[in-house]
Amino acid sequence: MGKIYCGRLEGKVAVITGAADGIGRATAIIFAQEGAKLAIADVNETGLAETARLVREEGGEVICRRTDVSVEEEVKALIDEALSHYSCIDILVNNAGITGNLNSLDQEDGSDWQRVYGVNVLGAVYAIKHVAPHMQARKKGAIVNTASVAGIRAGAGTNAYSASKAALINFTMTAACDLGGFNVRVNAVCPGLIKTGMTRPIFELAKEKGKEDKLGSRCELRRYGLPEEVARAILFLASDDASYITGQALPVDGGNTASLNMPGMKF
Amino acid sequence: MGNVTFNFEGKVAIVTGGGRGIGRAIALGLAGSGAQVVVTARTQSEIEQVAKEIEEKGGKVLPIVTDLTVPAQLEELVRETIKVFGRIDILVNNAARSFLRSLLELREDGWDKVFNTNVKAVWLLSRLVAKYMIEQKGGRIINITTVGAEKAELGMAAYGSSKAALKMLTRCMAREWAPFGILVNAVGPTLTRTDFSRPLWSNPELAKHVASAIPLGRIAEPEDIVGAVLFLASDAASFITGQTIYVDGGSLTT
Repeated sequence: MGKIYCGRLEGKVAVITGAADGIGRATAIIFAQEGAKLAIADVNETGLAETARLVREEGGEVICRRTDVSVEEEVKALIDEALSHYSCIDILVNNAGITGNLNSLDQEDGSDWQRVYGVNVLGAVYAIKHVAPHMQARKKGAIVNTASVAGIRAGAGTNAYSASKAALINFTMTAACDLGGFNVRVNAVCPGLIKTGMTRPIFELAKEKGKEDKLGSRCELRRYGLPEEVARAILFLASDDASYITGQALPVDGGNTASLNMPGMKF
Repeated sequence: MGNVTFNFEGKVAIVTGGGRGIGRAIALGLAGSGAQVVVTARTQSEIEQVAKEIEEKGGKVLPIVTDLTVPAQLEELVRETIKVFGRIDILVNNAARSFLRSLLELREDGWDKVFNTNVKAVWLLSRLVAKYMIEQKGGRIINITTVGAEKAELGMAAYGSSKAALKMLTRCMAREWAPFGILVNAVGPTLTRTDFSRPLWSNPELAKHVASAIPLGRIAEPEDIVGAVLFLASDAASFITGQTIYVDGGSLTT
């Protein structure tokens, strides 16, 4: 896919977590193409360095920081470093997320849920907590959280993952409500099945079983999505084109959540 | 706004209710991004004024008077668009009717007028257009709904119900036409400063009250709605269908 926008984020500074791969990496590259300066974070330093290389290849300016978003001090350090380096933050993309184990409920002792909530929910809470005072003072800012269709319906992830993404969608609304008066917008994207590092096991399993053609068959477009397609929705919500949009959770899912999609129904 | 940089060069769009308010802003936005735009509404003088504005900025435009509740006129609208521009890539179903009446006072023909314009005409026009989009192997349909499709408001029963129906029609069109590459989505504004909703914002006290209930602290201007429509009409939204983006300043968060 070629460039669609041009200069949408000229002069803006964006912090992107979970940027070592997939949607986070695609977002970093597209943001850079649109003129944003970046501070990117992940626990995977090798992937992060590769994203930074790709961003610089696009002529983008970027700093990297290893960050476990479930640890508040690390998130604070990330925001502080971005602020001291660039002296402002216009956009925050809370994209870091983990899937959790495929535990059945009778095996669940709470530790997996706590780990998943730590990254998927508290990661966003900490980042917004530490970036909000800065954005409130400037009376502007755009925050985009990467949630999931799993946060809207069942069958798209583990129990812990799905519940954490539902929590993130609700937090998107409460944060949007709290920060709206300061012209700080908070929205979420809800990706369906996207080909990323996180979903690699699903793609490998389908390949093993010779069912690759079934990947994405649950959505109306009958295909899986690409990280760039989610990144472009994140870009839209982060840009001034969306200046009156806040508190929204936008599915980028090929129509998955819009239909019952009963197999075999034909007209 | 004015700095929208989506590129619709070579694309043809129809905007219903394009003579004023949100439809006018959308028509100007599409034309400003390179699309050839058919602006349609019932009032000739208004669409001609919009056409003049677009032409003055170097855009290509065709104003066509249409009463959307007359099926023969829908056919004529589509026929004329194809005759002049040769294709249809984007349809924005923006035209709507509303009567501010309580359920006890609303007349039966009032209910019918609202549903005929807001739901039935959208279905009929969309499927006329879809036939060309199917031949072209793709297209975008964007329906303008409202936050009133999700939450009830006094005096807005017919309007809100019709828009809730349009929200589902959006999903059904998305479902049926996905195999043909037609993506169908909706954009739902909150109270917007247009003639259509003048009774709701022209009273300063009422307007202040409404704005205070919106997290971003103000009602929408027509230009606020344009970005979401252009986004959904663009290649950037290639994996989005059957959805509604509410452009509501956070109205639906509470």
